[in-house]
Amino acid sequence: MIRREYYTLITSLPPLKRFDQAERLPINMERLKERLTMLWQEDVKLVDSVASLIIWHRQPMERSDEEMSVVYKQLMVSIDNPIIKEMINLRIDIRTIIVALRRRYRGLPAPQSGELWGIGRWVHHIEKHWDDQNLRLSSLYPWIPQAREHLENRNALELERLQMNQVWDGVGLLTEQNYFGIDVIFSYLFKWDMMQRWLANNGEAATIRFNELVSEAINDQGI
Amino acid sequence: MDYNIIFTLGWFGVFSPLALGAVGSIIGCARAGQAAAGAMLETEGGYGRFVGVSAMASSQTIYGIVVTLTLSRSLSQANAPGIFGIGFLCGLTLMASGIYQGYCCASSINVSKSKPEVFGLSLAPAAVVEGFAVFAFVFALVLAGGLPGGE
Repeated sequence: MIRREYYTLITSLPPLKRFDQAERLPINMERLKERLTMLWQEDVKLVDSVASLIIWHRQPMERSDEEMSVVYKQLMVSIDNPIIKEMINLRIDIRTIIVALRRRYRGLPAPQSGELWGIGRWVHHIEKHWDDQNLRLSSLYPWIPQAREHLENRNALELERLQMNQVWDGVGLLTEQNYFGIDVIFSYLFKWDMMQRWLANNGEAATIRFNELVSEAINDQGI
Repeated sequence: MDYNIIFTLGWFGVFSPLALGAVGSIIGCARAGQAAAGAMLETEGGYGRFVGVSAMASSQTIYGIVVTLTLSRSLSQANAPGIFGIGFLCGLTLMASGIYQGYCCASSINVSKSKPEVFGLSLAPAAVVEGFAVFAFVFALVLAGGLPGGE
């Protein structure tokens, strides 16, 4: 595995505030894509393949769960970088746990053996411990009881925030010791994607941005 | 040991501080320079200080030049092994220092582009790395003074 370092690219990316504290994206998608042209060809392919599984707006609506599972398995085989693998697993595992909690909340029975309801490392464990309200994972994922509480209170926004906080912190921890490797670029893209998704759903931030655009337009026109 | 080998090692020791120090400076300055170029894309000013920081790792070559000039003398069986030991190990230290100082400078540029107030403090790790190069440099000069054939 060749470990390339991206000094110019990483220092050219603006810092990201925490997703729920940002009022707008510090870099827009066009500019980000332009900066990513500094990546080596092999890493561009890697970013593309991971983005198709993880990055929200890159996931085709028509993709079935089976296809998603196949893409996940292929990625796990083809990626050499353990940190990037762990980032993908982190995101997928959290998503699978939330799916399981939602199903339990709706009162659905344990998934049938062979039924495709989630992907990742915990699928069989969750099926086995379906009767436990925390899926016997709360020692590893201490946020599960809180997620359950948000589900029971029908607090979708807080549940989303909780999930995102887990991924945000987890991804940050994984790249704590690296400063200029491809995994840092992945960490940035994961966080940027989360921020974009959060802001898209946040009416207050959208209003602020709208007002900014109006002010800019007015200033440009000299009104 | 064969006289020719001893003689070759002596020359190896004479030129090592300069050559290895320059290798360290090349890698260190290239890393920090790339980081400086990236930071210029993202900031509106203060470019000069990014370029200045990116050149920090060039000092290892200067130390190497001084040590090489100090070790340079007519070689003999009596002084060649000592010149090899001092020169080669000093060169290795200068090379490692240049490479890792480049890392420190790139990180300093990365953090200070978005938080200019930590610019000075963020350079402390690079200064510490430089300190070890200075130790190797000074002690190489002191020890070289004790070798036969020096002026």
